[in-house]
Amino acid sequence: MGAIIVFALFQGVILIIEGVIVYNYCEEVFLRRDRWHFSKGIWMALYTAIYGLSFCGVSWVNIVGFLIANFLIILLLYNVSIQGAILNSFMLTAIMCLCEMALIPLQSIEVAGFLQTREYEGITIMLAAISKLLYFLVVRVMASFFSQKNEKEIKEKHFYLISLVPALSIMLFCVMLVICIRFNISGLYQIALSGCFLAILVVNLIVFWEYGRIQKDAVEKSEMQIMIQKQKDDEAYFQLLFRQDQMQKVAIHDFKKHLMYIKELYVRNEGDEVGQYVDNLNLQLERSSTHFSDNAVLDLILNHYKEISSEKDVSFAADIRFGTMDDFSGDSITSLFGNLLENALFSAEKSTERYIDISACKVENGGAILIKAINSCDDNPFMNGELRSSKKDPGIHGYGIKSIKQVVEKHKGAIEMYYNSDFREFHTVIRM
Amino acid sequence: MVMAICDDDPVSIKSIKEYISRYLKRVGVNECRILEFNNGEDLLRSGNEMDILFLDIEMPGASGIKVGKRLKEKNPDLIIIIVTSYNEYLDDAMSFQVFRYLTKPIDNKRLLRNLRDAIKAFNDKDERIAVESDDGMIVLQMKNIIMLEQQTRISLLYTTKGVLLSNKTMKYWVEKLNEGRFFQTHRNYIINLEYVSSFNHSEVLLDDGNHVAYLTRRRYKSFKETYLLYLEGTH
Repeated sequence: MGAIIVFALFQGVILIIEGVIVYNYCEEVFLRRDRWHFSKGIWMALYTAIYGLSFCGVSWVNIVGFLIANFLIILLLYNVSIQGAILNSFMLTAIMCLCEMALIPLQSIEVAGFLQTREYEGITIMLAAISKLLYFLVVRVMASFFSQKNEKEIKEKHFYLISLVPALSIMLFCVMLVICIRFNISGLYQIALSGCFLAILVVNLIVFWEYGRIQKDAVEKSEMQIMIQKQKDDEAYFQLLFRQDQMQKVAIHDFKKHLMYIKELYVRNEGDEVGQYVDNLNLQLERSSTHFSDNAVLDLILNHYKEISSEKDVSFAADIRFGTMDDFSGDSITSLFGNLLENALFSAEKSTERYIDISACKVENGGAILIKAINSCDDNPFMNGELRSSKKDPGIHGYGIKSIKQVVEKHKGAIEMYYNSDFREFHTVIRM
Repeated sequence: MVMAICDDDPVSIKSIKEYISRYLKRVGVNECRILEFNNGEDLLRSGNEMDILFLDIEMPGASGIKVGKRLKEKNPDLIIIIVTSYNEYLDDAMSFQVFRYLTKPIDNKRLLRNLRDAIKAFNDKDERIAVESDDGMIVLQMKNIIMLEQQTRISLLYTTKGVLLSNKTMKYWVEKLNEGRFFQTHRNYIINLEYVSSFNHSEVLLDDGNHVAYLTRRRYKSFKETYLLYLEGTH
């Protein structure tokens, strides 16, 4: 009776672990179907069926049961074709059997699981733990290759490092198992060790579960931040359109007034006055022209920030030398200067002196470009050598500087930021 | 130090001169002459050696651009700050190197920031060092030294005019060579930051790749910081 209870418990634990491994694989590789709300019921029903089958004690029945259950789970719950479901369920079952059989060389006794024995000594549990951990590791590696999801690139970086955990656990298990067999460790010690094996196996599963959850959270957070940034960009764009529309209306209004005055002078036969008036108008137009550079994209950005600076009573000056931006694409210029000026303006408008100076020139030796952004800044933004943001939304801050650094890195450049407390200025120097 | 202001508008000259005088008094610079000119011809005729020039380019008579070009040809170390009424982009019209541009009406604080940088750039250009070599005592301008390499018992000074040998030690050169302009990249190399063409984590190329100095990994970060600050101060 006791043996049957132990068997029942053992089988139950092993099945749960197998279920978690298969679930992990499916979540990694496939996309869920709409009927996901039935999923718990389907998983429980099918794995309960396998559990029931395990009591018959026939290996091939267990294997076929496992195969069919996984086939149905993949087909019903995930967006996979019938052929895909067949292939994947066969792979999962085959790997399961291979992992069980891989332990045969360790010693001559029969392994637990499919090729089962009813002697549930600690050794059996240890063997089961090793085979399930090996199964888990192999299935994880498979999943990382077959995954179609976009997060794959993010995960791969840390995946090989975290895979050391199950790999080293397997090594530890094998060594402990050999020690148990060689030194004939039995009784309570064996049971305690096998308990430890199962615990380590469960911990491995938990580590990967958490890792997957953290990765998913990171992706969701990035997507949310991109969405928030896009919303801010849209808002800024519409505000710009509105401002331009207002300026256009003012320009049209002024233009009408000038035309009316010219007509009046003409009617009064004051030809000389008309000529002089038009000359003065021309001069004013020339003086209001604001070309900062020989690059159209950069000019737009600088004009935009000049206008906003003027509205906020911040003195703005730009000194962009000829030919400095020839080798840069529009989006590099936008990322670089847009973010530099955004940060500079944010800081300058809160300061006492209120100015921004931005410049770009060529370095004589080597033909590199030097970009400098200097803005007034009352307080040192560095704390313990780290740049801290005073922006309200801590979730968004820092991305402007990251964007700048990405452009610098892309052009194999170098960047330096520092605070000059004597003149209360924040400096950004970039060489590309 | 000699500064000059060339502008056809006497009010402009007066205000620039006043700002400069006040600044120099504040920073304790007593030995500085400030010359005034109303047009380009007088400036060219004067023959005065000057170090920093505030040049208006919208003057009647000789074009400010031509005047600036001629003066730069005579004295390549002359620091020229262009003063202009136009916001229009000018640099493509300039046929000489301009240190800074200032637009009228002059923003006092911007003028002083640029003056501060101009004085710093002037001080950097003028430093000299006496080098004892096999050919006797030679006085070199520091800006002409490209790099220094220490070999077993001698130092090799690579200059713009050739190589000099000296029996001084590395320690001597580290003390003598200006910290702002020179950097020790390796125990056997000191380089002049002005001549850096490119760099990576293990070496620095100088003078368009004609010279190579080793850079230790430990000094990379410090070198990068110093170099960027040097560029900022001189451009």
